[in-house]
Amino acid sequence: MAKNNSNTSFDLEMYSVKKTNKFVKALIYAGLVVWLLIDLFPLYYLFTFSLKSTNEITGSNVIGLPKEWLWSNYGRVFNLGKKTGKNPLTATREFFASGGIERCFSNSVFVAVATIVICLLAALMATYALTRIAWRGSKTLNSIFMLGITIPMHIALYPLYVSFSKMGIVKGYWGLIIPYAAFSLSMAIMVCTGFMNDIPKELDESACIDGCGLWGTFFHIIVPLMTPALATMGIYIFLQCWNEFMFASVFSDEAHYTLPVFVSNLKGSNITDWGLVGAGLVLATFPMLFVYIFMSRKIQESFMVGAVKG
Amino acid sequence: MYKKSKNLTVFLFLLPALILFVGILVWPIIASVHHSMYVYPTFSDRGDYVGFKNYVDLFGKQYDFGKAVINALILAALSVFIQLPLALGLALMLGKGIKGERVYLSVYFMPVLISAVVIGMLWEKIYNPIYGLVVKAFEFFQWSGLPPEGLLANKKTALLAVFIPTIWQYVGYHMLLMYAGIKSVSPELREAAMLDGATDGQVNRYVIIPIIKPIIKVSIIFAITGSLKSYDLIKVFAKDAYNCSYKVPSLMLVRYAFHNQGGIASAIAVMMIVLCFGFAILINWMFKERDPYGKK
Repeated sequence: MAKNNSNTSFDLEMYSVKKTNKFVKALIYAGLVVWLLIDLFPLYYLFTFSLKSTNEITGSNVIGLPKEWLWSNYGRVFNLGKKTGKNPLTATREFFASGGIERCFSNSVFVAVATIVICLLAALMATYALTRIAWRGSKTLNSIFMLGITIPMHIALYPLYVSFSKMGIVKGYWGLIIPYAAFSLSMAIMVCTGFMNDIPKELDESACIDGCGLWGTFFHIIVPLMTPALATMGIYIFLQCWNEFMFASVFSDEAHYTLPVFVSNLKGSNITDWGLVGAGLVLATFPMLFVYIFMSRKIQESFMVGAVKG
Repeated sequence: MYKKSKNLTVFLFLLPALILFVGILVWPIIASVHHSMYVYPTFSDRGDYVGFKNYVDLFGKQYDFGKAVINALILAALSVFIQLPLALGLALMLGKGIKGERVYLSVYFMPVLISAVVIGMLWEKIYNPIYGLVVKAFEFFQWSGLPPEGLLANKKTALLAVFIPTIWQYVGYHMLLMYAGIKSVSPELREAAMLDGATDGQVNRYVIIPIIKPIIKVSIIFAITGSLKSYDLIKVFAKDAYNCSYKVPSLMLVRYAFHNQGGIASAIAVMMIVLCFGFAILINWMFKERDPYGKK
C-alpha cells in the first residue's frame, strides 16, 4: 500500500495536479477543530458542574474547573431511592428505583442482554430459513420482514400496554424485553442476511453430504461462522436498549426502572440542586463513553452496517 | 415424506421470528386501526364505535394535531437542510485523509451513544434563563436579544432550541455513514480525476457525491423519520404536552394514551405510521427519478 502511494505521488508530479491551497487546508483544519470543541465542550461543562457547589455553578465560576472538587455530589446520587442512610430527598423517594442507581444500572444491563439473546436467536434462525433453505415465498417473507425497519415503535405502545396489562406483564422486565426484541428483529435479519450470504453455500452442501441435517448444519456450521455478525448486531441492539426511553418510562415500575428513567426522574425531584443532577448524568453516561474509548471501531462498525447494507 | 419434514423444519426455524413479528409489530398496527375508531371513556371499557370521528377531531381545535405534525416537519426540514449538509461537509473533509482522522471521527460520533434523556437534561441546564451557559455567554459578550423567559419557553425560539441538541447529537451519526461511503470509493477514481486537473471541490461534486448518493438517501430517510418519531429529548424539555410550542406527535400519543383517550392515541399512532411510510416511499421515489443509471 505504502509503495503504491509513493508511486502515485511520483506520477502526480508529472502532471499538473492542482494542489490544495494552503489557506483552504488551514480552513479545513479549523472547521474540524471547531466541531471537535463543540462536541466536547458540553461534556466538559457537564463534568465540571457535577463537581461544583450550587454557588459556583450559578454565579462565581460558570465554566472554569471547580474550585473545590465536590465528590460528595456523587455520594448523594447513590443515596437516592435508598431507604437507609441520609437521604436528601426522602419526600420524593418513590421517583427512584427501590434500589437506587445501581439497581437501575443492573436493570438496564439485564434488559439489554436478554433482548440481545432473544432477538439474535430468532433472527439467526429466520435468516437461515430465508436464505439457506429453498422454498416458495421466502423472498416475499423476507421483504415483509424488511418493512419492519420503517415501522415506528410508537404504534405498539398503546395496544401492547392494553394487552400486557391483561396478561399481567406490563410492569416488569418482559414488558420491555419483548417489544425491544421485536423492534430490533428486522434490522437483525437484514444484517444477518448480509453476513450469511458471504458464507459459501458449498459448506452447507458438504455438511449435507456428510449426513448433517438442517438443524445440524445450522448449529455446527452456520452459528459458529456468524459470530462476527452476532457481535456487531449485539452491540447495536445493546445501545438501542440502553438508551430507549419511551417504553422504559411507560412499561416499568420503580423496581424495574432503567437508567434513562432514573435520569429523567432527577428532573422531577430537585431542579435547583445542579451538582446532584450533574453527578447523576455523569454516572449514567460516562461508563458507556469509557467503554467506547476502547471499542470505538467495533461500535462505529455496528452502526454503519445497518445503514450501509440497507 | 421428505418435503413434509422440510416444510416443518422451515416453519420451526421461522417460528420465533414470526411470533415476535406478528405479535408485536403486525398485530398492534391492526389493533391501532381498530382502536382508532372507538372512544374509550375508561381504560378497561370496551368502547363505543365512532367511525372516523377521532381522526376528524384530531385535526380540530381541541387537539390541534396539525400543529404537532408541522412542528415535526420543521424539525425534519432543519435536519435535512442544516444537519445533513454539515455532516456531509465533515465527512468530505475527513474522507480525504487527514492527520488524526480517527480521533476526529471517534469524537464526532461520541454524542450518538449518549441517551437523549441525558442530553435533554444537560441542554436544559445550558438554556436555563438565569444560570445557564447561554445566558452567561450573552452577559459576558454583552450581547442582547435573549428572551428573558429562556429559549425553550419563548414561542419563537423553542423549536430552534429543540433542534440544536439534536444537531449536536446526530451530526456524528450521519457523518459516520457518509464517511464510510466516501472511504469505499476507490482511490483510483479520485486520482484519475485529479490527474485530469480537477480541484478538490470538483472531485467531491462530480465523483464522490454521486457515488455515495444511496447513503445520502438513507441519511435523509433516517433524518425525516427520526424527526417524526422524536420523543425523548422533547419529553424532557416539555412541561405540558398540550400547550407547549414544540409539541410533536409522539408527545401527544403518550399523553393521550394514558389519559383515557386510547382512541385518539391510536389515531395518532396510525397517522405516524402513514407519515413514516409516506416519506420513506417519497424519498425513494425522488432518488429513483434523478438517478441516470436507474433508467436502463
